[in-house]
Amino acid sequence: MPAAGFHQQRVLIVGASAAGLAAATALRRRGHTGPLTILGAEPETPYDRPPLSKQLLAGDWSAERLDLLPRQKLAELKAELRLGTRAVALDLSCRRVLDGSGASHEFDAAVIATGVSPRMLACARPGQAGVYVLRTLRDALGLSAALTAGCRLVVAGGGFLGLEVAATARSRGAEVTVVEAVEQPLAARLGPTASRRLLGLHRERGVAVRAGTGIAEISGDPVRAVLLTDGTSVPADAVLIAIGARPNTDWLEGSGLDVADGITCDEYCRAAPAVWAAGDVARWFHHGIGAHLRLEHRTNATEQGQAVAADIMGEGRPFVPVPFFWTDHYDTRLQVAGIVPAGGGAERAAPEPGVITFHAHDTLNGALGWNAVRQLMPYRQALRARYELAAAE
Amino acid sequence: MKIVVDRDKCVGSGACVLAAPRVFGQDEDGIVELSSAEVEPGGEREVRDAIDACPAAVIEIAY
Repeated sequence: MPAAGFHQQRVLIVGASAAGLAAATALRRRGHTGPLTILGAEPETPYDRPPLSKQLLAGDWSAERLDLLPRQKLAELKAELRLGTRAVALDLSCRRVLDGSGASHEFDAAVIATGVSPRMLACARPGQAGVYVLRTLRDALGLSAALTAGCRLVVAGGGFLGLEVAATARSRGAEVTVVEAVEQPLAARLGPTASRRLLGLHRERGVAVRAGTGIAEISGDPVRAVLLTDGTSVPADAVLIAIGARPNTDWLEGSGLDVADGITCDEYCRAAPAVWAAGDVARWFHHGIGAHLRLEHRTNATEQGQAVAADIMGEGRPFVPVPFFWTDHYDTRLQVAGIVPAGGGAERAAPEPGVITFHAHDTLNGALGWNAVRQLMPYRQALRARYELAAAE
Repeated sequence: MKIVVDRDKCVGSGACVLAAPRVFGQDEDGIVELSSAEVEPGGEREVRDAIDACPAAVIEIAY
């Protein structure tokens, strides 16, 4: 394709959240002038998700503050933004996507950024009053309305989302119980020391942490109690199910794409000719780490959307970011850069206070900062240098 | 070229510091701080990378 062709091709972005909008913005910045269509399943103007479990749920921010792009910048994209429009099928050979209204969107290049959806507990009944998940703005507003002072909230799942909500709910005066199936939730993500300390922090703040037990039944409609597999019962006015998420790839079944766990991509985030994936839904080959990764991290959504845009414009490089996320609990901010080896691997206390590093065979694989934002930066820089070196070889 | 940051909207991801360490820094909470509001000649590329990398879109260039 001649260089001019890149600028004028029809680009279709499926997904109007962080990764999709990052791709759109980066395409225009790189000189793409052709038709640009963005399909968004949700009706709301594109918004940012991390504050949903924190500032929005706490009541500190209004929904308007969550806009991913100021309205003027959104208009300047000159994209056809179709909100409330869900993609239902991809036809690779004809290079088109069908949406739920039956409309067909033909493309020269497509970016799939459809994100993930919360997993549900098998024992929760659809539509059961007082049972919540937290992924969308609507979810967050619904849960927020339930979190009155004295409300008894049971959080199913002691992962990042569940514990962030527990912290926010405590700040609003709710009584909170976290039920988690494994004894040390987050040990695989934070290592043994930090995960233990985080659970301790929640207990200090009055959260009842019930680790090592499952949920047998959520009784009542509206909900009244949660029965645990250890035979005990916890009274509940509200239940949040936060047991992880699954990639939104059901609509791609039978398309020919590999969607075993997200959309499998190469190191350029290409899933098939003319098709890329970005954000939570993408599982791509990270050349610096030497493995396929699928990251549900906010920073990755932006970086991957931008990397895909560059590749669409013929300027791509292998995508080798430093995996990075942060999570806020009360006045504590944890940040993790790189990869925490399964089971925590060999962790060491770094010379900088609050920093833990993770190693495999004496190679730095990851680093964690506990209220140590600036102290973590040299480790992020070191990981970046190593990945880029590996990718260049 | 002058840089303006909206510290109230900053989420402290540090993406700007990774992209342009000579221009951007962070306070103890991770909130962006400008080491220099003026961009040196040759430093524009880095600053544009930082603007793009910011997940909260809080960095702008004022002319």
